[in-house]
This record gives sequence, C-alpha cells and structure tokens, in this order.
Amino acid sequence: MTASYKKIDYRLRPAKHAERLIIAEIGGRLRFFDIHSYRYVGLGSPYFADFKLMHRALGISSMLNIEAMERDRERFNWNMPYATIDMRYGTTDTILPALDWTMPSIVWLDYDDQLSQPKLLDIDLLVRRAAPGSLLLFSVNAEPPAPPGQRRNASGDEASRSDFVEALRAMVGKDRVDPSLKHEDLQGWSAGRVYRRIMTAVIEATLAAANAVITQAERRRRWRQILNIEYKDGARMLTLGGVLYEESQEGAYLAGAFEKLSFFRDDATAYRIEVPRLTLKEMAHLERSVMHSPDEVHELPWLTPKERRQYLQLYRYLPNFVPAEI
Amino acid sequence: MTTGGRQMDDITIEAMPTKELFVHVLTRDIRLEDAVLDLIDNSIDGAKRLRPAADARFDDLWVKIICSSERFVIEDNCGGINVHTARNYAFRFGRDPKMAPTPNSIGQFGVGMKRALLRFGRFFRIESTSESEHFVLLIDVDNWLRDPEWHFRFDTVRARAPNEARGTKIIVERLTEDAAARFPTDEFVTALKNSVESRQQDYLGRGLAVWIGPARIGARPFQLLFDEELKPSRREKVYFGDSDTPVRAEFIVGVAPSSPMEAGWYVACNGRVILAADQSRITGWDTVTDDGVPKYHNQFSRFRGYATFDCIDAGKLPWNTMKTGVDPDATIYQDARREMITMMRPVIDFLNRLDAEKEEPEDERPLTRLVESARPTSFREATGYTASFSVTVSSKPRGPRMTNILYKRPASKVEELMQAIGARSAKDTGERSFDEAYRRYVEGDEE
Repeated sequence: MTASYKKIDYRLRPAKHAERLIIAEIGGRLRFFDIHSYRYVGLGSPYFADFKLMHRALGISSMLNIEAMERDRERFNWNMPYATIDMRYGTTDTILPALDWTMPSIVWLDYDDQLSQPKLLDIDLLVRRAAPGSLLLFSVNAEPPAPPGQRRNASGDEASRSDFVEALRAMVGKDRVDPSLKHEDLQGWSAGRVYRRIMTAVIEATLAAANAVITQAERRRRWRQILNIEYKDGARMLTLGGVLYEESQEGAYLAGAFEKLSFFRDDATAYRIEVPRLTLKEMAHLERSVMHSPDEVHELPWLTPKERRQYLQLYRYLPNFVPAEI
Repeated sequence: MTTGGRQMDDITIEAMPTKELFVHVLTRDIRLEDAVLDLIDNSIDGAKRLRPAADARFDDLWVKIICSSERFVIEDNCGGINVHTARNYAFRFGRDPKMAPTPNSIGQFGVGMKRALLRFGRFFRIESTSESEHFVLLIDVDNWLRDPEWHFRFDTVRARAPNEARGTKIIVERLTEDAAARFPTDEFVTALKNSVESRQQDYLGRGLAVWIGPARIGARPFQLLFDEELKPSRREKVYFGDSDTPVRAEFIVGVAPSSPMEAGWYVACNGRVILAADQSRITGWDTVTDDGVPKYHNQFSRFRGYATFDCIDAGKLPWNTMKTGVDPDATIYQDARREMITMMRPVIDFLNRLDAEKEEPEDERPLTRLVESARPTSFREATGYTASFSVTVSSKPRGPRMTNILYKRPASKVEELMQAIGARSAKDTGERSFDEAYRRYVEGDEE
C-alpha cells in the first residue's frame, strides 16, 4: 500500500485543517495539568502539520512521532520541523507498548486507513496505560468496510459489492460485530457510526476491566468523549476524541467546560465538518457578521442559508490561504 | 414428605445434595490424567507446608505413582495428613471456610482428592503418617452410597512410632471401567508423563522427584532466546496491593526455538501450569494474530509467553477447579489478558517481519541470522529482560516491498507462451509476461 501522504498534500485539505485547529482548541482547555508539561504523540506525515500546530498553538515541546514507513527514514528526518522530535520507526504494535506513559499526553492516532484489530488494540492500550489527564484522539477512514488486504474503490468494484458485514467481521473480529447488523447499516455515513460504536465499546470494556482491579474509588479511570467528528476531504473520515482521567480529577475535567464548544459531542451524533466553497471576498464579508446568530445573517443572497451557517460555525478553523510557494 | 428421617412442611424445598452427585456427576468432567495431577498437587501442597519459603528446595521429597489394570497407587514423603485435618477437612466435600489454608496452595476448592479417587475406583485405602499421628482409612464407595449418613470411619488411629517416616499412601481398587482399561497402556503413561512435565515443572525444577512407574520425570525449564539485540520483556503487576492477600502477576514474552507444538501462552497459578502452549482466544491469541488475512505459514511457532499468578490465598487466583484452564471472567484475568495482548503484539510484529524475510536473498536476512545466533536461556535464570520486547537489529528491507502473484493456466498454453518469448520456466514466463504488461500499460501511460 502506498502511504497516503504520497497521494494527498495534507496542507490543502480544508476539513482536515479545521479538525487540527479544533483539536488544538481542546488542548488549550485541558485543566488537569499545565499544558507545557504535556507530550504530543502523533503519526505525522512528512508535512508534520499537527506537530507544528501543537507547538505553535499550545507551546508543547515534548513530541514523539511514530512512523511505520522505515524505508523513508531519511526523508522524515530531513523534514522534521523541530530537531527535538523523538522519531520512532516501527508500527504502533511495537512502539506504543515501549513508550513511557507516566507523563500526560495528547495522543492523536491519525490512521489513514480503516478500522482494524490492531487499531482497536492501540485504543485498548492507551486507555489502560496513558497517564490520567491525557487527551486521546483516534481518526480512521469511515468508508464502508472493505475486506482487509483489499482496497475499497469509490465506484462499485468486486470488494464493495461483497457483503459489508462480512468485511467488517474480518476487519475487527466477529465478536465485536452486533449480529443484528445488516449490509444497509454500513452504507454511506452509517458505517462511521458503526465504527464509532465499536471503538467506544472497546474503550468501555477496557475501562471496566481496568477499574475492576482498582480498589481505591478515586483512582478509577473515566473516559469522557468530547469529539465525534466526520468530514470528507477525499475519503470519509471520522475522529473520536476524549479525555481520560481519574475520578479524583472530575473538577479539573469540569473546569475545561468543553461542552461550551460548538463542536463538542459526547454521544453518537457526529459533528460534520462541511466547508462551503466561498470566495475569499465572500468569506471576508461574512466574517463581519460572525457575532450574529447565523439565522439572522441575510447578506450575500446568492448563498444558501446552509452555506452561510456552515461558514459562520467554522470560520475560526478554516484555512484562509492562497497557494504560494515559499 | 420425609427426607433422611426429617419431617418437611409444605413450603420447604429439599436442597440437600445427594452422594450420587459426587460419585457420578462431579467425576464426569475431569480426565484421568488431570485427576492424577490433582493428587500430585495434594502432595506438593504437603511439601509446601513442610517448606513454606517461596523458593525452598524439595530435593529429598518424592511422589511415586504406579497404575495398572488392578489398582492405582500414589505414595509420597511430603509430611502426611494429621488426624484433625483428615477428620474435619480432608475428606469433606468442598473446603470448609474455617480451615486454615495452606499458603500459596495449589489445591483450593476442596474437591481435588475426593474427585480423583472417585474417578478412579470404588475402594480406597488411605494411610498417612504426620508429625505425631498415624491413621488408616478404608472407604468402600458402594457401602457408603447405601449408608444414609455422610460419615467415613478410621480403621486405625495411633501415635506415630519413633522414626516412622512421614508421608501418605493411597491405594485405589475396584477401578472404574475406563481407568482399568487406560491405566496399563503406554498411551496413558506417556500422556501422564507429558502432563506432569509441563504442568508441574516449577516444582520439578525445585527438586521434587515425581516417579511414574520406574521413570522419574525430569524438569525441562522453559527457554527463551536472548541476545544483545533481542530482548524478551518482563512485566510485573500487583493486584489488590492494599489487601492482606495481594495477587502478584508476572508476564514474560519472547521468542524461542521454533516448535509449533510448544508455541503459545503458558499460564500458571501458584506455580501450577494450568494452560500450556495456548493459542486460543482465552489468551487473546486470535485478537493479535488474526488481522483478517489468512495465514499460510507456521510463522508464530517461535512465540512463547508466560503469565504467572501467585497469592497466599489460592481462592483469589483465576483458575478453574480442574486446574485445566483459567476462569476467563475473573476480574484479575480480564485485566491480565489485556496486558498479555499488549505484550505479545511486538513479538507477533517481529515474527511477521521474520517471516517476510523468507522472500529476501539469504544474505539479506538479518532477523533470521539474529534468531539463529541468539542463545536459549532458561527463563527463570535469565537476566536482561526489557519492559517491552525489543529488537534493535533493523530489518530494513532494501528496495520496494514485494508481493507474490499465483495463478493457473492450461499447461499447453503456458508452454506455448514460454517458447514464444524464450522463457526458461513457468515462473520465468510469468515474470516476463508481467514485465511486458507493465511496460505496455503502466509505463506506456507516461509517454
């Protein structure tokens, strides 16, 4: 499989860009510890966009990158934006268990392919090992299930016509798939909802098992979902994110007031990032009205109310650049 | 309605167990080999009472087993059973909570010995000499079944004679049909020897001599491969650390010489191996090795994992009553299984990379060279474990990743094409026709 960074220039994906800024905003609201004491763990492409943002927006300087493409080691090392990034080459199977998890971390496992057993085991490991106060984010491709080893094509090839439920069982193990699930439940955006449910089930089961052997109630772990994002720059993607903390830290969680953020989602209803296609001039004009409720803005009558609303919800997170080589 | 002579009223329901439950039902689920192991476990618990230190040597202690179509005999010098224990606990069905347990015991449910004896036959002679007493107990099961009372009676009870050796000897006669048929066979004796060797090796390693007929079972400690650049991992975890009886768990994973029959997880409770070479979902094996892609090679035959649980209170350990498996629902095991999965993933990842090296030329297989030159070391004696399985040799496959194409065509057509393009073999024909198609359809695009 070709690494996805060879196919897509990550800087040009507007929804992805918005997602990164959203995550940085959540990072800025973490109240468990001083944000400068956090470590960022990511699966950076050679563009390292998330690393640059975590440093610039939050001031995090302890950073660790996991990269499976060992063959491109030279290229990665050369593109590293900060010399102090700890570059680890290998798969998450091998690297994640070897890391020291005593410091609070922001971990973003931004996989570009579909959900799989190893990814669910990564989630299990982080939920058990990550230091309390950590922010954990998992992004996966949310297209309908494709049998492992086969690429899913957008238009119906052999793989996409085969039964989605069978493919899902092969991806995540049959015990994780609800027997009442039908092929139709995995079409379009519904697949992402099923993936989120499976990921959440793993988090809950892992926490239940871990907490069952912790005798002090205040040390028991809690997971609070903050993000449930869907977007589609190219392929459909979903990001599940939340914080992990001990019961004694409930106050610090509440102090973050994450529920005040417009994109906060603690349930199965996803926040869909849809970027309206507006001109720079239109964007600039609409921004004058951002303090109004989107329903009260009636300027630029050629735009649909939906486009206006989408822009005004998202403008803080959208890229406003023109292509320029520097 | 009357039961056992007692008058019952209309709303009371009889819940008294019957003797038949113990004689005919509880004996059904256990295999003969496992029942013998249960009796040896009782001897080992005797040895532990004599020498309670965790690493005590058992060099002068022994257990001897002789089985034939007529009788089963087990004899040990492991301290004996005293009259108080025999009268109040040893022959009761189920462990009395008032009984002071053997610390770190491997018999804990109070069923092992009784179930084993009933599994083997219908007449028992139990003779034991403890520190100050000696007793003989004869049990005729058929008579006991007819007796409404739940009592056994000593045949002899007396003080221990001066210099009388301590120990227990049990003889079972009037064997059950299958015991009489299997005990004299080589097949049974060999299976039993293998079971003792793998399941009780911790105690064999500490010097306990177990004899089956004329053969002493040797200790064969588990081995792992060690090298400067290949380090197995070890992790400890204490469950219920703030209680009086914490459970200490130790997990070790690594690679060993290739052996499909020995690969997998070994799980032990208080030194007794309850799962050996397990490759099932119980140890999370399927979760880690099944990524949805079918496997054709025995590429995991080098995997070894050891999970051991130790506790003063044997009742807190995650085992089933037959000691043939874990209790998968036990909270400790629910957590431990996840630790095991986490620890085995880097090993499986390594074994996959090792397997992929088979595609490379012989002089470009650094991982293969590493496992072939690493030295096997007994896992108890080894030092130099790491927190997470680590291989520092880079596999670094030079050039692009390769994949195989396998397909069939009529032999006559293949030969025609072979001649037409001047290929040397079917393989060569396939490779050349691929290269030709690549030039035409892929590189042709770029013109």
